[in-house]
Amino acid sequence: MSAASRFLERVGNLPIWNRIADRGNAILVKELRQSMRGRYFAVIFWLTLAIATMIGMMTFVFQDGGRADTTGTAFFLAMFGCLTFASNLFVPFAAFSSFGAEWEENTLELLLLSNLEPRQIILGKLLSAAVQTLLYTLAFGPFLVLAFLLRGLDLGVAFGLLLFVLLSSITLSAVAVMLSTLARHKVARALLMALMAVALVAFSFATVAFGSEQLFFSRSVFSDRFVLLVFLTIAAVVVSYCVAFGCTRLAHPEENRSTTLRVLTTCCLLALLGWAAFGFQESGGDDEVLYAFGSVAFLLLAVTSALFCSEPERLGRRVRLWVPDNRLLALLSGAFFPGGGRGTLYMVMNSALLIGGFAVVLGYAAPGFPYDQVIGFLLALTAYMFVYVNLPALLFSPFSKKLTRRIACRIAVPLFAFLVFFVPTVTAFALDLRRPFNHAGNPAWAMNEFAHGRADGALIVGLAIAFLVVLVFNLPRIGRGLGELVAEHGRRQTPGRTAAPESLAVPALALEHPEESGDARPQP
Amino acid sequence: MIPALEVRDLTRRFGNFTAVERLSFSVQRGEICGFIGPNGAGKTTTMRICSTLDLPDHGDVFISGESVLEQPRRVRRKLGFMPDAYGAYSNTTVADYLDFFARSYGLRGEEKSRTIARLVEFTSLGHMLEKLTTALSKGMKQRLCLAKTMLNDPDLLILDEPAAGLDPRARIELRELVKALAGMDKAILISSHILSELGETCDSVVVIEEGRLKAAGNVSQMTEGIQRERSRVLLRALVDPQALLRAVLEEPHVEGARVERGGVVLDLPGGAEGLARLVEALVKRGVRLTEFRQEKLDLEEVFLSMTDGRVQ
Repeated sequence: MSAASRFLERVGNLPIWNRIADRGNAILVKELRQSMRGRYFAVIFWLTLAIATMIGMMTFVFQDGGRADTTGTAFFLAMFGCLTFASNLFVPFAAFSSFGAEWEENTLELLLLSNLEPRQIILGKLLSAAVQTLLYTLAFGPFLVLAFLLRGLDLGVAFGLLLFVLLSSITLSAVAVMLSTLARHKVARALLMALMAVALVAFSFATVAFGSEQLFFSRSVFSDRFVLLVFLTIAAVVVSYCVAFGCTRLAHPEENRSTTLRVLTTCCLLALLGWAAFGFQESGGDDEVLYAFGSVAFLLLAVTSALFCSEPERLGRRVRLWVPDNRLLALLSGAFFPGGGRGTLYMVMNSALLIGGFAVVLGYAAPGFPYDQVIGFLLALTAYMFVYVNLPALLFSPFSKKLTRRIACRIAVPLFAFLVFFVPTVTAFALDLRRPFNHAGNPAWAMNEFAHGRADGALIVGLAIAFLVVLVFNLPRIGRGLGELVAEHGRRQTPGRTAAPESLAVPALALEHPEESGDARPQP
Repeated sequence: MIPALEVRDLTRRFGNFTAVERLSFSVQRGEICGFIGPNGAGKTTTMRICSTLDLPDHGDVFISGESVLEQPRRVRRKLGFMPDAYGAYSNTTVADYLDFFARSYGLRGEEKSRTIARLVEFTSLGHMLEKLTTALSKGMKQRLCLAKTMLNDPDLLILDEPAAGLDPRARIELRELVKALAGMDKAILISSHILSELGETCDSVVVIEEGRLKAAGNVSQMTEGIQRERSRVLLRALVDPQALLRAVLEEPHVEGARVERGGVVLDLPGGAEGLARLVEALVKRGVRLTEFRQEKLDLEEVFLSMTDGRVQ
């Protein structure tokens, strides 16, 4: 054990720290203790600092002709590179391994049994990664101060970049923990680990390139006051999804794995709507902002709905307990309960919410704005996304009990979208038609037509018919989904649904003919 | 009185395969209940459902009156589950391990320290506190796992194969710990393949096969019940054991006769009547018996007589 680790351990054992730790997340405390005792963190930490010192010295020595105006910037960039690799490569990797170890060492069930909620487990792992990133950043503090003293460094850009690395490290750690919850088996974990390593290395290089570009060349994006807020929003959304998705992976299949994700998606859609309103106002009424945010919102809705619409229809035994006692409330909340039919209802409701929201934004922000074009664009987008998601979901719904079929359905959604585009395009090429890409199966072309008010009647009618046909065929599923909630409500109203455990008359010792009674009570 | 554990009409299916079917039994506080069955009988599935790690397709389990289906969090507060696969953390000492799980159970400050100290004393882990959990022997790991399982002072302890892989000394020590726990008014459901151990420890047993209940009840009542139908006898005579064996084998209804301990051991159906008939027949044949002893059946015999060894 290194001297630093021994020192940190001694600090960790102080009574005051124990009192603070008692109030904190148990997983975070455990993870930090493990990290302090383990070799991985200590070795990587000191190695990174040693390499940073070496690179810093080399940068300082080989700086061309001692140009004072760029020495500080070059030194900062070198340190920024080292910090980026430590925070964006090693920390997420450690987070992935840490969760993988829970599967490997058979400790995850012990955690779940100890009354820790999946959310606490995932957040604990994430907080531990955040603390490690913070430790790296603090360790680099003296280097960064030196970079500033060497002059030539734009502090605003430097802080912006440091914040960006911090945010990206936490976001990547969240993604790593989420991916780790997917991989129970060693082979899958090894494969994911390899893929993740490649992706993290690529991302780290890209971050360094971005930092270099910001420091030396163009006008920095950090001079825009909203850029960090945008980064923060994106990080918050990704982290929230990763935590929510990770939690669902830790829950039993019969438990509610969907409601949190559905609520989160609706919240994200509302946040996007808010950003769209803000962006629209800030840009002085530029409708491109609405098209951009609208497209992102519907894409998010489609991706998440592809998960929801392919869920098994039946409510799990523990999920039924969530159905509100009030019949009206049970029906109103129906779209937020798990199940494919209810997923379709969820998509319809949220599409309506988005279109209504955008109409309100336009109405308030630009009263005289000709919003039929924007709303037409959003309606067309709704039709595309709805058909892409719900046609495969409808076809696969009888088989949704099995996980493999559900996965097949989720793969079928993009495949179907691709085929709808690809087949007419190839046919048009084969028939040597003019503009082979300009057909209704190509949403990019169609949406462009709508955005510019050039959509012809055939396209509009075709989309409307496709949407209505898929909706009508999905109505029985939606009906069954809501019917199940009503039936559960009715079952609750029936007196004597569950006898109290005390009232159960278990027959005494069934030794002679246990098979006949199927019931017995041992007598001590 | 509300039982510490009540399994009610439990059914669990995995696709077309039924792991547990309409299983019902209960365990009272202060009772040690052995849960036995061949491999694949559904023991672990049942235990996992009892400990909220799995959910039944039908039926329910109540821990001190709380449903595992409806109140899993409240159930976990009253339950201690020791799985067969022990989970140890790398770079974690025994003290840190217990401290972490105590925090997970919501114990804080003085209460946490007192609970850990009490359990360390109970499981005799005092001299191991600074050792890494990965460096512990199997017996010590089981003690640590037992201490962890008891951190929340559960009403019910579910121990899945706790004696597997332990040496004889560790097994005896574990047995004593389990008995001490029952003395603290805790209900214990324990599964094991070492039936001789269970026979000495348990007040009652539940026997399942192919997911269905075969028998359940007090151990001595069960052995007596089986002895009423079938007896095991040790015979010694003034003749060579092989000659005695030949004489015995001439008798109908005699099963599994073999030379053992200088005499002949055999199984005989028909209870006291059967025994009397055998003695009469042997005397008539001129066999000069020196010893005729009815042997007590143990849990192993009970288990073998009740199960067919069918694996699902």
